[in-house]
Amino acid sequence: MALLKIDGLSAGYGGRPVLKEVTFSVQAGGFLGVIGPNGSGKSTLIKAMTRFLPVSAGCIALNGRDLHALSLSDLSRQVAVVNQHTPTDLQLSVREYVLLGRLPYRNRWHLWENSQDGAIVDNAMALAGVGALAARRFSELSGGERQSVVIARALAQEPRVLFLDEPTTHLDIRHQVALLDLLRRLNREQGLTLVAVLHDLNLAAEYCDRLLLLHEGGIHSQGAPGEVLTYETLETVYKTIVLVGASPVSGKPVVYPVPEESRKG
Amino acid sequence: MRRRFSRNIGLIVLLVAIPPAVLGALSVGAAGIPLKQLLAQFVSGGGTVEHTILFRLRLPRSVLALAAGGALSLSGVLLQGLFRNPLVAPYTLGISGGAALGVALAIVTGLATALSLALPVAGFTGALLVVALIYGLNASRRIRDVQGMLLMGVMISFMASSLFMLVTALSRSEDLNGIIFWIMGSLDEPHLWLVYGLAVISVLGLGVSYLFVRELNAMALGEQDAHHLGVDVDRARTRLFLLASLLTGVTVSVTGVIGFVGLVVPHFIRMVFGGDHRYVLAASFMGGALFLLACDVIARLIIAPLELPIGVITGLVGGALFVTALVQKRRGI
Amino acid sequence: MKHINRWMIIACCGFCVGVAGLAAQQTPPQRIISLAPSLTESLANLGVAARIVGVTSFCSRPASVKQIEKVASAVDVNVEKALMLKPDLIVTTKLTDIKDVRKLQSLGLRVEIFEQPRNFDQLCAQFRRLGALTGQSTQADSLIGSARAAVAALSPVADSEARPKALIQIGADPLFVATQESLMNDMLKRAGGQNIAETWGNGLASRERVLALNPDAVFIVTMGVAGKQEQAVWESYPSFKAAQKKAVHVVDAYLFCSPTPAGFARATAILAEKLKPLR
Repeated sequence: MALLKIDGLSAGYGGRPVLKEVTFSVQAGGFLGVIGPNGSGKSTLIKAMTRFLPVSAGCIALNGRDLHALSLSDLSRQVAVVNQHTPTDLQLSVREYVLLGRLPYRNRWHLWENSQDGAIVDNAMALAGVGALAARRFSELSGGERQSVVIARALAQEPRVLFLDEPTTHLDIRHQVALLDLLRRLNREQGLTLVAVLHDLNLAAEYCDRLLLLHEGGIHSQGAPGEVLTYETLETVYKTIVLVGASPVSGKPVVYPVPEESRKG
Repeated sequence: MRRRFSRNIGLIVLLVAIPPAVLGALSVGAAGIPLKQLLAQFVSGGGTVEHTILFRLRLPRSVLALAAGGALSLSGVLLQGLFRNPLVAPYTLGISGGAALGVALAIVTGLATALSLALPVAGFTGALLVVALIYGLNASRRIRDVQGMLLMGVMISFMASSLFMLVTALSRSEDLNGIIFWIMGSLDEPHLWLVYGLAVISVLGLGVSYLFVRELNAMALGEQDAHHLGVDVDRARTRLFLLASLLTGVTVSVTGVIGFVGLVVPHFIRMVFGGDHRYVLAASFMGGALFLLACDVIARLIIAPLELPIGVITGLVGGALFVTALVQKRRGI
Repeated sequence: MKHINRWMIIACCGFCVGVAGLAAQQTPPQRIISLAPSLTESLANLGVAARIVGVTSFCSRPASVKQIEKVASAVDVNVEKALMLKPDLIVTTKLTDIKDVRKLQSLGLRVEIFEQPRNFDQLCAQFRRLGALTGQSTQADSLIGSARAAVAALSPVADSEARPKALIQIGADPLFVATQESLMNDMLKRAGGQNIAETWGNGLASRERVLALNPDAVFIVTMGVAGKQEQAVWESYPSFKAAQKKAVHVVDAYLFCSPTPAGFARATAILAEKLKPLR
């Protein structure tokens, strides 16, 4: 049962087309990883799917309904986005920041949150593992803590689908693993559908149940990690020599880079 | 929770400070009117000189200080929120430049002496033209980027100022005086209905700005996040810009150019109240009102019986306070 | 008999009221505020210095007015103070902020505004008006008369004679000169000179243009050190006629700027004296 259906999606920036006729679907409860070289359109895909960019062709359907037919507030109640960059200088406490995730549920006449909002926010923070940070100032958080807090805010929106645009870039391996573990837990335990742009192929292979490989604005291949991450595919798309093995821990594909000196022979 | 409690207290403190501040301002002036007599004047009607001074000179002046201070400060908050830039002030976008140009033209063409309302109307027209220009350029190009709009505003500001200087360079000396007076800003407005009109618009502006609290709080996260939280960023940007411009334009056409209020007061307020616009809007309004009132009292006292131009005081006091606060904050970290 | 008495009483009352009315009109203002140094000096010349209750901080002539209460600075009028002094007449020029003027008027005070005079005739007309306002018309007429006579007495230039060309500089950096908008233009003409800058708009001039026209004399009306510096600058130009003839003069700015008719006559006499050797 497809929660998200993307059909013939084309989008770009001011006349310059980036995505060309992209078609795929995301199952409810799935964890889709979007991978591809720089400039292949990964971020553009997220922006187009969340209506931050206008689409020049094609349609996006969420649960059978055209995404563009929804009002902005309806959209923000179904879909939440964790972006790459969050301003670090916000003069808010962590709890106040997470409370902003409840904005889609309040119209402009309701200035203050009610107790239900408070409960949902507390729950979101607990799920994201940042309950203890509630009183801290947002500007004082470390990178890893900040990303988790942003996820808490997205969770407070109670979305059906969570989009993440390179959430692990700039984080060290400890925080990368912690974040992805959190996402996997949310996916498995809460049934939250996830679409994440990841630039690290191994992390994508380890955590996502399906991968979407973009190449020059179109889909090159999609499927389970083992299907997509073959050395021929990667060499074609990334234009570099690689070896693909299996993780000794989970058996998931692992991509080994092949440095210049090892290529002889 | 504790923070919310103390912020509410902060708001109440600001509100409660206004009446005594006004009384204080009313008791300052060349004619020494002791406090008891002041209160008595309110009760009695009167044909006395004291009564005239109180009700025709000092009271309108204080009301104008509160109204203008509030409007400018509020405008600063709205613009800083919409541009996500703490250095943006009501005059950055050239609204005061346009108003100054309008006034200069009105004085040089002799309109100002012919019609008594020529100055405020010309000022407002000039400001309105600048706003229309920025709005039109923005709308037609559909710039997604808010920085583009800011840059355009700054450029228009420079152009308006240059045109203004051109007009003054070609003007006669007696006209020059009038233009300079206006530029320096003043809280002495002979038409009382303009004063009370501005007060009404100012307070209404505060009310309307509260309809945009969601947008302001969301836009602090950046345009993308604001969009994903359900805010129509383009529409919000336009409306906030228009509201802020209206407040600024009306204020400038009545008082002339009084700088720093819209830049400095929101900063202080944010340092104390945090970034939540539900508090920042009202606190900045009241803070700006009190600030300008205090500056006016200083302007009238410091070299009494002569008065300093109000713009000089807001600049010096505002700047000094700001620098001290910034330095202390740095030390704290 | 009774009729006649009644009508006579009414007629007498009417007459008395009429006289009283006339008398009231003729009582000149006793508490005057002057918002311009030139007007203060003029009032003193008219002999009503004792009636002045308020002046600006820049009113300095004659010396006695410095004691009077200050109600205004160069840029601002303290309306409150003015009101407190209960003036029955306020005189000012176009240089005062119009907002302050309106404020004073809205409080029911009588404000008489004097335009900047552009020539001697306008200056005398204003002086006469001031005289009428203060009930000193005779005094005014007499002073105007002697000023006119003094000006007329300066040896007139015959039509056949060429008038020396001159320039009156009133500002440096940027260079500002007196044009037909300024009273000093008329001074120069009545002194027998020809103002090369007469038609130069508001007076913002270029040195180049001045050098090109090569006047016979330059009169510098700036104050203090700037005057001496400007003199040195003009004298440094090699082919400059005024420099060669040693006709670059610094004159007393206080006298030349916003004078009274008597002052105008004195200033014009100084110009005439300096121009004579150049004819």
